[in-house]
Amino acid sequence: MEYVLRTNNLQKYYKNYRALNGVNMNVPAGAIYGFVGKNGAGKTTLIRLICGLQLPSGGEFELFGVKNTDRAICKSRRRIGAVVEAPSIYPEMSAVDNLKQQYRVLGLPSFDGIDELLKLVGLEDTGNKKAKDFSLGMRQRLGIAVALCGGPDFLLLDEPINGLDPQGIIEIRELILKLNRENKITVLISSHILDELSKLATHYGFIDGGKIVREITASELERTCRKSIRMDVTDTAVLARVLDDFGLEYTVIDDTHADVYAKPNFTKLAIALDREGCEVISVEERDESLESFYISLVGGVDNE
Amino acid sequence: MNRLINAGFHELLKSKYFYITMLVCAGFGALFSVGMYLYPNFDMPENSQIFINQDNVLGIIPSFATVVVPFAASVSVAFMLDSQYNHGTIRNRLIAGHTRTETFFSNIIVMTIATVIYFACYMAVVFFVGRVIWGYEGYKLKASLVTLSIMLVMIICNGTLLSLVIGNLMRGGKIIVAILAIQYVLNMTMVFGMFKDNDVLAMLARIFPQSSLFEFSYAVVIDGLEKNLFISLALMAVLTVFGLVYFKKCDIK
Repeated sequence: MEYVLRTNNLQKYYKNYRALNGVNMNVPAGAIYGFVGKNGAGKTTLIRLICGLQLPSGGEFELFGVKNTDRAICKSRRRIGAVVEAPSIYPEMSAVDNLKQQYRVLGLPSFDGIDELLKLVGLEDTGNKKAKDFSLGMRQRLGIAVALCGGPDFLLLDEPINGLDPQGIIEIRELILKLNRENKITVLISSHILDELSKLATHYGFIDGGKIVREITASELERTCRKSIRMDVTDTAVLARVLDDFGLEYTVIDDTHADVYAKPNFTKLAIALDREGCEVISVEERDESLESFYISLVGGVDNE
Repeated sequence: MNRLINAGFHELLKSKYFYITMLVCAGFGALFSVGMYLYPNFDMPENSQIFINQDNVLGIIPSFATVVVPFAASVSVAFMLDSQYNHGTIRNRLIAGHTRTETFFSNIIVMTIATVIYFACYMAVVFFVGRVIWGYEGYKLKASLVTLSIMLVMIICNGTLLSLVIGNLMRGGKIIVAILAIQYVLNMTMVFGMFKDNDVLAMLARIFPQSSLFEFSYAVVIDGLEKNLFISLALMAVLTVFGLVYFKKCDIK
């Protein structure tokens, strides 16, 4: 698999505080990588290191196969675009002037493509209106447009939907999906709004206490979080045999517990089990959301 | 780095503060010229040993640029760094693959040129008003003006560099207030040279080039012009190296 970003034991210390404590992370090309973690987990710090805004205290990372210690890392960074925390824009300039300014920074020979960029982010009708008079959502979209100048292959978005209204969230989501599907841009999006991430991400990285606690694909996560019925029985070997006879999909957890991924006819199931000498102690419907999966990984309130 | 300088200039030219500052510099040039003509010895300390008359007044006024232009340049630096750090636009430069060295020096170059423009605005008005009031025939210091101007620009650039270093040290927050406050303190050093009977102030006057402000006007600088040029150059080099080393290592939010 081709990776856009790989980190190896990446560390960042601020005096005595360890913001990143050995992060190992792999972002595949073409993915929308949901970077999940609570506030202070190290999401923004990692993005800052990748963008060159801060220097690692230890470990290393590869961006498009180039190590951060290599001089060519600056060239690799030309292939990325990023919105780190707040959008980096000139409030006294219009949307067009902001993009022109970024074109100059990038050294692009002409301003071709600015109209398309503005159209892509839905700011084509803003005219001479200054960015300081934009709504939060418009500023966020302008920040993304600035990040898209030069046609990056990898877009890093740090909490892009924070503070947005529902309409703004939908707009940003659709924009990210469009960029990924139509422009083939790999996207790393950090957020703690899990429900929103679940509508976008193809891969997830869960960070807690400055460490990646789990990396998982969306399909793996879906399998882990799928709806099931947790059955507590006296003998799961008998339960398994009966479920096989019923043609139901299941996972045996231990000697007395199993998850059944369907809604069986319980009367028939209970009678069949009773016939085999297996008692049903309890039945519980389970619907593990991304949120509960995340809590199970990072330890919930106790870990705060 | 050319790309960053180009972007920096467009940022400067898009800023209304750049034009306001040019007007303010020009305004002070006119004010000092007319004021010195009308009240040549107004409110001068008795021990300043400065005797202004119509023969030397135009030689003095250019030196007053070191009172006004450092503030003007600092305002520009402060607004530029405020935009870069508080609005995060410096991130766009680093993410775009520019090295920190390029970013640092492009800021220095843009701000130094802005400083020269402010100085030129001030001097243009001083010359214009001087010609109207005295006429060029009455002006006897043409030969030393080039050297004097170089000296003044270097002193002013020291203030600009210091402002850049302070802004990079702070990286956000009340950059504008801090830069202007420190610039004010720095400006105060220019009065040291007026109190020659105070040993401490006299010693400080020999260290800070701008303390010889009034002597510049006559090209009779304490310890010679070379010492002041050397100190200005040394200060610029120290500030540049310190600023660059720090900027290359610092964390940017």
